[in-house]
Amino acid sequence: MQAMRLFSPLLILLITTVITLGIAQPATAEQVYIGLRNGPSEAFPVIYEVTPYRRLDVVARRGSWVKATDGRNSGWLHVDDLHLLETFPRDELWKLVNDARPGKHRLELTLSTASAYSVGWLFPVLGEYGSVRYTRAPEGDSAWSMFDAGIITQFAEPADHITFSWNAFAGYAQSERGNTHWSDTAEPVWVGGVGVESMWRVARYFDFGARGEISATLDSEMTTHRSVSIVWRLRL
Amino acid sequence: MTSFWRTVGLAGMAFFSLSAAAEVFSPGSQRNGLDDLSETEVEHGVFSVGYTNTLAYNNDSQPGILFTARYFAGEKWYLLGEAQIGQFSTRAVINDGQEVRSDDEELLRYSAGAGYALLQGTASTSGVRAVPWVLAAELNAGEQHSGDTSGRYASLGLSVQFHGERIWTGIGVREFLVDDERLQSLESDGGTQWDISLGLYY
Repeated sequence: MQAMRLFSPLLILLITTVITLGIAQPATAEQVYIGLRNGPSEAFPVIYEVTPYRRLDVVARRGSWVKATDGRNSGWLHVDDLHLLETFPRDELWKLVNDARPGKHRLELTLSTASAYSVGWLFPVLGEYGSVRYTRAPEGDSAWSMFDAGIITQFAEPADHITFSWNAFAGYAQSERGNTHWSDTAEPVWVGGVGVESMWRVARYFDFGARGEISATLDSEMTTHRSVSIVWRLRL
Repeated sequence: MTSFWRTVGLAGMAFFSLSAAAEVFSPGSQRNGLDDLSETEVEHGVFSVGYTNTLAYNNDSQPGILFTARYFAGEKWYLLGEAQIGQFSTRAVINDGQEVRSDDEELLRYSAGAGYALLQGTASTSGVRAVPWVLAAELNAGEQHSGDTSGRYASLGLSVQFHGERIWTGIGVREFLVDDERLQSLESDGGTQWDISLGLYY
């Protein structure tokens, strides 16, 4: 009991020393620098570094990158790094972050195995996406064109930035130069169709993917066509 | 009659009371003054105009003017829209006594596509000013009209671009194909094209 009383302070001292040595780090003064790049991408080299307390003004924005200057030098940094600048006004920061977000409208370009290209506009409607498209197959004797409107609904997102959606559309199509792509006559016909698409979000403002569609004339002939398209979609 | 005026009076009171209520209760979203901040200049893309030279198979080298719009869709991707006008032929081709290509055919092409920056870096000659440059691969598809015929146009090329402070400069070279049956019969349905353009950000 006497030995215990003698060793207790020594034991406490030993434990305290071990903990202190384990936690305490040598004191170092580490200066943080923020790199400004020569262009609006991480692939461009850092050409200029500033401390977080340097006063910088933003003079331009390209996508999610901003060009900042201190009056003598300038460079690009990502809007997500603007908060590192301690002196940058917070209201301007949030405005830039908001402005850099892509909007909900989409511009779409496609090329299809039906020898056609299309230009489309996608817009939010009732929680889904509505679409209007102009499609044209310019090839000589089998030329045709179509104007359609439809809806696109996402049904799966198996991985980050990859989505699957189905679409349905109805429109007005016309064969050109006497061909029988849509009907035996030169008159325009109503056309309807459905499809499935897979899109990959390649960049902040840019989607790329493929779509398979089947379309049929809404008349007694029920002429059907199947196609696969490459899709470029721009987030506006 | 009394009942009628009473109904009209009640309806009027209800209408004015609803109007008054609408005036009193009209909440708006709070923007915390963000809209009052000055707008930052935004560079959406580049409009450029340039000189282009087309060397189709079995045809002479032909000059043209190239109008291009590029839209920056990300750090590396951009969308392309192009229009080209120029000469297509200055030498007639007569086959079996029939002129299949005249000596004054003009060319009109419009196409759209995308570009991807393969390399990005910095160019500097003085060591004082540094200009960002980009080497990009570009894919284009559209329609080409030459003479009285037309066909689908597709091209794959490389473009070197210098993104100056105000002026954008680009030099490109591409291989192209056109599925115009007349040009196919002339074995002139493809070739090489180069261009040099100057542009402004918009």
